[in-house]
Amino acid sequence: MSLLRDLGEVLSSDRILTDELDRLCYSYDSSFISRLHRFSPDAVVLPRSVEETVGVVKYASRKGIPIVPRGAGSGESGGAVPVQGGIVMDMSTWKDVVELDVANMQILVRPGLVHDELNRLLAPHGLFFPPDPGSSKMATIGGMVANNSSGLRAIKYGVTENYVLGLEVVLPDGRVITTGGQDCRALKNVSGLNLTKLFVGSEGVLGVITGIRLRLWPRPQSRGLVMAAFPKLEDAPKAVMAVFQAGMLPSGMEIMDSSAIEAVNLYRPDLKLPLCEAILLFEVDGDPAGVAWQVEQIRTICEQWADEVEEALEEARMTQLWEGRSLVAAAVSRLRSEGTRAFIGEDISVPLSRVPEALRGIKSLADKHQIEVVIFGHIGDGNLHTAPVIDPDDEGEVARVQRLADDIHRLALRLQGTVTGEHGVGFVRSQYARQEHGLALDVMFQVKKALDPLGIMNPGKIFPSPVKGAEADGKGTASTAQ
Amino acid sequence: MEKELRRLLNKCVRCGTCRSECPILAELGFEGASPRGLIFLLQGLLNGQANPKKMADRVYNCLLCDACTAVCPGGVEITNLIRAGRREVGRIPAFGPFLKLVLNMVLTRPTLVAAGSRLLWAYQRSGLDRAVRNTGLLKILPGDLGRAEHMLPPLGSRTARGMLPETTPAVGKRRYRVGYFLGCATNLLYPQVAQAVVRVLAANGCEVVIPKGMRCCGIPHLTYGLMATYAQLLRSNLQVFKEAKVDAIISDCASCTATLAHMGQRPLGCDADLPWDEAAKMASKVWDFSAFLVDELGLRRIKRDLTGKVTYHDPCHLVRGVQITRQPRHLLGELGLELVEMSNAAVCCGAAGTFALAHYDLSMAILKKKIDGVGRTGAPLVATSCPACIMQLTAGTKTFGVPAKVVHPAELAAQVH
Ligand SMILES: Cc1cc2nc3c(=O)[nH]c(=O)nc-3n(C[C@H](O)[C@H](O)[C@H](O)COP(=O)(O)OP(=O)(O)OC[C@H]3O[C@@H](n4cnc5c(N)ncnc54)[C@H](O)[C@@H]3O)c2cc1C
Ligand code: SF4
Ligand code: SF4
Repeated sequence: MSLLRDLGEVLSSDRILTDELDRLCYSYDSSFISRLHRFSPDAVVLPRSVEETVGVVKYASRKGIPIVPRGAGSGESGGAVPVQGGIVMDMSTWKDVVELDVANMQILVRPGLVHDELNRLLAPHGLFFPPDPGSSKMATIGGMVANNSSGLRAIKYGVTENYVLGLEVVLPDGRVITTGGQDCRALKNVSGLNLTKLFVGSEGVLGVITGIRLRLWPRPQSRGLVMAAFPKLEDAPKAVMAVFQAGMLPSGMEIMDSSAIEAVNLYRPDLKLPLCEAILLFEVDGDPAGVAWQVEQIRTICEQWADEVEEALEEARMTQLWEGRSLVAAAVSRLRSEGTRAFIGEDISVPLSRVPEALRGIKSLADKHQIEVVIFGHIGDGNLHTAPVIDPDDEGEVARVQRLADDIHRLALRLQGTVTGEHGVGFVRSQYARQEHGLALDVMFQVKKALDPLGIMNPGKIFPSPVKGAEADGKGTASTAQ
Repeated sequence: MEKELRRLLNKCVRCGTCRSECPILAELGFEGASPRGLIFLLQGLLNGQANPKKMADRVYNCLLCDACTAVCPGGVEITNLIRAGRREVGRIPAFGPFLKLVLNMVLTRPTLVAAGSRLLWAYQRSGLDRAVRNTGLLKILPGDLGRAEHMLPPLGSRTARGMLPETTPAVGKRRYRVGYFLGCATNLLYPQVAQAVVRVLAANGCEVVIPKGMRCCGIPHLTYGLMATYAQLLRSNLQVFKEAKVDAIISDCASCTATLAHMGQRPLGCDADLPWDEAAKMASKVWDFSAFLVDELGLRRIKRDLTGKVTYHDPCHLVRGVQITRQPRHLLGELGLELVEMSNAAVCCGAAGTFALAHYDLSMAILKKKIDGVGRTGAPLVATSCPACIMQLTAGTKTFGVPAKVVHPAELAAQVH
């Protein structure tokens, strides 16, 4: 109760939650791991100003209590889960637009604004924020920045970090900094060490992001989709390479395997996706003539291998197809009546040339562990999402799916890829950090220690645990436990 | 039962897509108020981790508007699970015992409904309502009942049932014999809507029967997890419909329409032994008023005599319950009106049956957004196909000062027949 009283000096009591049921609701995000364990916070706060955020951070810092920032909790890595208890800062209700500067093509927003809401409010101004996660309906801009999220359009437009001009961050000691220049509105700026990039993708371990200045892009005049149905899964990557070789850069290149197709059809029966081993969904955008030309070229290329090619140019159909693909990650749950989709081992990214190997590898690992695995993802940049469908009440399946995820992660590293293309390390992938980064991991940890010597910011994330063990060895290095 | 619930709850992947649609979360903001949070807590209830007593407040903090279920990619039957959860927790918070009595005793008996309504009429007529408001006596009512009292429209001395004959002959050649399912709210609060429905149907060649023994559709009982009473009502209504020998069952109330249209499906948490196949057959005869008029009768007898702008509010149970959105709009257009869409047409108005009575402030905050949407259209008329929405929107237009009149499409249609 003293926590409630103390926090009550910082923010109003209706934005402090200490009730047991409320706290329980912050023990999860989308990650499967948070289904298996209960990580309840001691309290939850919903700040809506810099002062409130600073107040909570200073209090936590004085008391040495962990702070876990949280957006919508749609992350798949346990990033927003309080694995060591403490205070969860739910930023999702602080969603103001501080300033929309159309002339300078930028916007300053608070972290809780949802991605889809942002793009809807930008549309009348002919602008947009290009990164497009499948979780657009729920993901907050704060969560996207902290995870450096991307999604369906990364192939052409890049990832969140390409659009962050500057950040307002509350550091673990309560100081508030603005990165990217205190008053800067310039679109180019190389002055000083790039602290913005340091905080983008920092997963809440360096500070709480309270303001985000995003650069915006002009909305393309036109777009078009091409959907190609391949009788053989392994032909899909060939079509992708051929499109690149023909000198085109689509704004999206998505793959869905046969089970993913089935799941989307179950979710949105009106879509009537063709049944086959793989569907490729291409999006092109730009001026109308260019779009029409590219759509034709892509059709011709795909026809070499595909049975069926559909050109979708009308808005309603494009929206339907895009939304179906966006939410396939969760729709997969429909494939099995007593089963659900587990978000685990779901985000590997491999070099383009090794996509076919990765696809084959995942299938054979699924066979080995006897787990049904659905594959879809951003094939244009080698980012493959694997979705195991399991019965979460079946202990055998739960154990096998964890071994499968481990094997998939190791496969990615063997193929010179990474364990996470866009979802982040969080709590679930830190064990691969040493193998991926070698000595660089120690430098990362030194940065963390310099900013957060008490280790209160989102402990247990990014760095392999036990971090405490690493502290004890006196070298200030992260544990090498593998 | 528990196994089935567990299996259905397990389907939630916790993606959070449902967060984007929930009007309650939009107001309250914390995860426990979100559909995903409720599903998680229901899992906790089954696992013994969430205290049933505390859970009672949680499972009632929901409009059952179905907005979450409609977008859930995982196919989680969120609203059905919340209803089943209400049965599991076994108690109704706020004015629980009082409400339970009303639901189990009064609403199941047509004569008691009429008697209650006459009492309320006498209360309003005598000026006692104003007196009571002034004295603050309303504060002694349970829950937020006292504060919500002003929402009740002025009642007539008679219910619709008292005004309308059991059988109204078709005008001209009889094309159909239809049963008019005169729901509790229309019967008590909006008899003029009932009169309009009967008039329009008859004018279009329907012999209209209002079967005598017909009882409540049971939605309040489903809402409060009173499955046994629901089953009792269903059994009785089924018999009544069968005996009435009608070609179609017409309802002017979105909630009744959706409940009746789904009566062939055993609700989660209901273990009563009922002739579900027979109920399913009967359910296939159920029509929303506008849909029947537009899709079945055709709009041959309608004159395009009305003018001006109208906006349409989609009742949750029509848009998501039975996916009806096109027909009422089409009807309004055919009457000569200009339809101006509000941006939030399909968002819940916050009425949600008796929700406003227990969560007055929350309901009003949700209503405010709705009425802002109405206001932005500039239309002097709001049409909607549900008496509970009519009541809520009327209270909203008054409270928030938007000069728009709220009507049922049937009332407008009756003007040109
Ligand atoms: C169905 C589905 C589809 C998805 N598709 C994609 C996709 O296509 N591409 C993609 O990249 N991701 C995708 N994701 C993953 C996820 O949606 C993204 O990572 C998203 O950006 C997380 O946002 P959030 O608001 O939910 O953050 P949360 O999950 O709440 O938090 C994520 C991380 O950010 C930190 N954080 C949050 N807010 C702040 C803040 N203000 N300050 C500091 N740290 C903060 C948290 O501590 C945590 O470490 C998908 C998820 C789902 C469920
Ligand atoms: S949308 Fe469905 S699967 Fe996703 S969190 Fe909500 S209930 Fe669960
Ligand atoms: S039914 Fe409506 S109010 Fe209830 S959880 Fe779903 S969206 Fe929220």
